[in-house]
Amino acid sequence: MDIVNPCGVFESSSAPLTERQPLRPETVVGLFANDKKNADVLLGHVQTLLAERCSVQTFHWFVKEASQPAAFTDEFLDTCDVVVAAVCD
Amino acid sequence: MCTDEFFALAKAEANGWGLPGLPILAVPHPLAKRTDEECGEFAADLIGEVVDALTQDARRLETVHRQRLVPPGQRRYHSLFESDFNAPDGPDIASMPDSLTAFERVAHQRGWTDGLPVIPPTSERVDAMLGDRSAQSLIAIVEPRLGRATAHKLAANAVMAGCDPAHFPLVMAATRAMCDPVFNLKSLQSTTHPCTVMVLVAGPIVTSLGINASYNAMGQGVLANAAIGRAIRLILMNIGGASPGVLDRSTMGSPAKFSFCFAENLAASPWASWHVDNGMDADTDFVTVCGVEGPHNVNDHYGRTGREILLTIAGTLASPGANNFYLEGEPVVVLGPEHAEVIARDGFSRADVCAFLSEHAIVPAALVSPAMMEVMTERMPHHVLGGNGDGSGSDIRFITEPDDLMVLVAGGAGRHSAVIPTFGHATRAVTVPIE
Repeated sequence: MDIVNPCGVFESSSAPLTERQPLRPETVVGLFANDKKNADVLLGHVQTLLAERCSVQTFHWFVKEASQPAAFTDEFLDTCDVVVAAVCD
Repeated sequence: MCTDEFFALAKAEANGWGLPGLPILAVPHPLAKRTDEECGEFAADLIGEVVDALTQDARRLETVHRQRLVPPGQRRYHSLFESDFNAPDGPDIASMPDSLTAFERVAHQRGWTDGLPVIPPTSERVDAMLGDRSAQSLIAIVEPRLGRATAHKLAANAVMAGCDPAHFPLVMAATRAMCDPVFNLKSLQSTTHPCTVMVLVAGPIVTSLGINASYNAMGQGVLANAAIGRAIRLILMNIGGASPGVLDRSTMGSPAKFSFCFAENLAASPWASWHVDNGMDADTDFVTVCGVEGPHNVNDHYGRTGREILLTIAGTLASPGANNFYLEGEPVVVLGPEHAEVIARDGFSRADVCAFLSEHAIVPAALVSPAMMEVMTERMPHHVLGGNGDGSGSDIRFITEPDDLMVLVAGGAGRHSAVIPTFGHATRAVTVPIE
């Protein structure tokens, strides 16, 4: 018998990773946490380490509301060169 | 960065967005229980890889991270579906022997089922389900795997669930409704909360399809309720990719995730339907989807007045463990007809019931932990009643907006009602007409 695959096609187009640049003191690093306990604590330590090791001076924080899609602000998206996200549980 | 338990979820979501090489770094689960010092140690362990992920050649990163998996021994919890779940890249039509046993084996191996046997979606059966509809017409995109819910794929899942072709318009409408962005299907599908899609049907179609609204309305026994609700679950799994333990991360799960479809018992209700009370036409067919837990019974055989019965319902509704407690949202109350009769006899309208429950559904301070009290006083001070000014000794209102409650009437004889908590404010009920 011929069976119709109930799964089939997924809606995704391949998106290549953005080319990276060296971290410099003027690099703006976004720190994006979800609302779960300690996600912000982990990122806080990452912030400290990036500042120590790579001399990064500017960090922008964005904390997502629990269980909601992230509503990033234009400012966050426009100003961050790179983003480190911590989504924890 | 995520915890190792959730690496597979992050990986599957990244794949769904076309980013299979997205750098994802794992820390030991659960992070929430760790001290500040432990979090610092995790960050120190990962910082080299964080810097690499931010600075290295993109193509090299893609190659490395595309293949990265968390070693199975590193996790404490295991899913039956550790790898990519249900063969999305398989052929659209597969030939196999005319053997029900062979098909069931394939269906289980590929994760096409909810665990129970399914009807083989043969081309003939799927064509009969489709009728004269265009097979490739796109009904919705189903999150989180962003599966294309064409009429053809929906029909295949409806066949597998045991639907009759007459059920199919309702299945398509419910799919459209649950893929409305305000329903937030992505979060509902992948949360640790045991939520599912409740399908509430209204209009003449309730009678024509024989949807059970009376005894055991939310339970087993009637084909339309069982098969339509089950079709929605199979669509969530097979098209939306909600594989248990991979993209569906429900800690406990719920029997309601197998199938949850019913209608109001208007023949035994003292009021017009919820849909009519909300401005919809009684002669038009509608389906409403809600992101809910399973129902919790409210037994009150002794209440003499509407007020007494409503107090019992309010006390059952006010649960400190429900998402609605600290995330608000739109909890559902289903009044049994015998409770509804007494409540209406004593002069309560549906709006009065909402107002009463909003006022009296209160979680006493003695049942609120200090940690939750901190959360409530910080995030939802408008729910905190009295107390000592610092949150201690405060009772907590479960609902502050009466209009957020959905009050329905369903079921058979007996002095029982039900409360159905929802996922919280992150989801909103969605109603669409059935075409």
